Amino acid sequence: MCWAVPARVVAIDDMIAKVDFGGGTVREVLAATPEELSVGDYVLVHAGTAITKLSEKEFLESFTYYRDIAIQLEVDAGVPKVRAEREVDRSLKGLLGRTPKG
Amino acid sequence: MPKARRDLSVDVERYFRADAEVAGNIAKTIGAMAAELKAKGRDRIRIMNFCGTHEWTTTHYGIRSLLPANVEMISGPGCPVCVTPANYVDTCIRLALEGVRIYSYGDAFRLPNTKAVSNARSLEEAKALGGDVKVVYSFLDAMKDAREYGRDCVFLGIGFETTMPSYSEPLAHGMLPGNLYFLSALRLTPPAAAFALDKVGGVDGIIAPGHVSVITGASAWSPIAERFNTPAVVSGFEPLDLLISIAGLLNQISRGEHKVEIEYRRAVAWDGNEKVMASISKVFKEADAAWRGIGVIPASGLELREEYSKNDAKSRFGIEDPTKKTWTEDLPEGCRCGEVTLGLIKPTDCPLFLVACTPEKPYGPCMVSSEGTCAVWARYGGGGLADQVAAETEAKG
Repeated sequence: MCWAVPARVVAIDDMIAKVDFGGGTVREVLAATPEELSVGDYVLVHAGTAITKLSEKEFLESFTYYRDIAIQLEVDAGVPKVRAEREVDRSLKGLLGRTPKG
Repeated sequence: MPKARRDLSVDVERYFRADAEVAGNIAKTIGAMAAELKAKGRDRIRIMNFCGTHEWTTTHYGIRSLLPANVEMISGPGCPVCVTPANYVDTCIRLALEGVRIYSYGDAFRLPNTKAVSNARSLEEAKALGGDVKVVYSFLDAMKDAREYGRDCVFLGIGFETTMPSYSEPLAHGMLPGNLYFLSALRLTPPAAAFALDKVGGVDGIIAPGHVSVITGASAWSPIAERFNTPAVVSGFEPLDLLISIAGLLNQISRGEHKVEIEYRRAVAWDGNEKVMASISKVFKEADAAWRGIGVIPASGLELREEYSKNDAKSRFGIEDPTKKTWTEDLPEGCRCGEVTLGLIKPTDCPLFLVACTPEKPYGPCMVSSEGTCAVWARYGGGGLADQVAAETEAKG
């Protein structure tokens, strides 16, 4: 029930946004995001309502959160910080480094 | 030429699903943390989720089988369909058969009541008997249909915080036609989480619901983390999101912390969606509310404020809510969904599970919605638990 799916805004008219879910599905949804939407924005849609804009900038921040934890764990175990960072980045296969920029 | 924008839905696939090696490495980190905790005598670390979609991801992707033996995942109250009181289903069946058009989400269409009303045990059966029931994708679609239809209609308004803006925004902006009445079955997640944490006792970590927190902000979980001395991580819904959140919880547990952290940073902020929080409190007020199979939890539901009573189904059709004094058990006989919802038992502990209650023919409410714990377990099993399910059903024929 609380599932929300990403979609791209293709048109906007006051409180109603037309969004593209991909695969040929385009629907009118209620725009309830705090900020004004523009064509091209990505939103999370739940029950026909756009509830938030997906942040492109913070898209991979989950991995940053993990990276900090994993590095801290290594450092606690006595591994020098620089080596810990290198090892954790290797375990993430350079995921954070290869982030395509908006 | 303008730079091509990223396709974020493709990126979800690429970064959060397609990389088995990264997932394996995160699982190894979790293993190391759990081993360290075990060495300190932590033989049983219990992590509870409060969202049906988290339970879906956990079970569908077999997260439990990736976790060390001393880390246990418990499914808490996370499915608004499962906890919708049976009297709302009864009322909607009765109204549908009397010619009032009922709008429902697909999830609630098959929700069984406790005793048949005019031979119907669900809105689906009421429709088969000639009742006027329409399944809609959104409240917006119901508003359009009601405007064209012109006669009395009721929207069965289920949902947690995630769904609230879809109702509060149109209500606050006066977008509803006069013939559309809203039946509020809205429920608040944090009070129910606190209620369940209290009942289950000794929970070590909380996976806080991602999309509820998009609306409320992660800050909504602070009082709970404080009160239960339990760390909480607001998590996304990809399998990697959950693994990272579990790592975050184990990290806090090993440090004796109980902070609220956000893993789902691409969607959730500390303060949430203040615009819709404003429309929610403009349109609705908190009230004691009944949770199916559980009873009345103080200040855990939302009712329409007086100013919106012209669209309130409860005042229009004289629908009464159960109170602490009048509430009676509203599960079908033998059904243990109340205990499953609170995380007190697993679906496999219910003697009806996959015997007299299946996704094809649900007997209890948790087997109906695609996010009910029983339905999720029945469809996808869950690592080692899948075997348990298989063994039990075979033994019980």
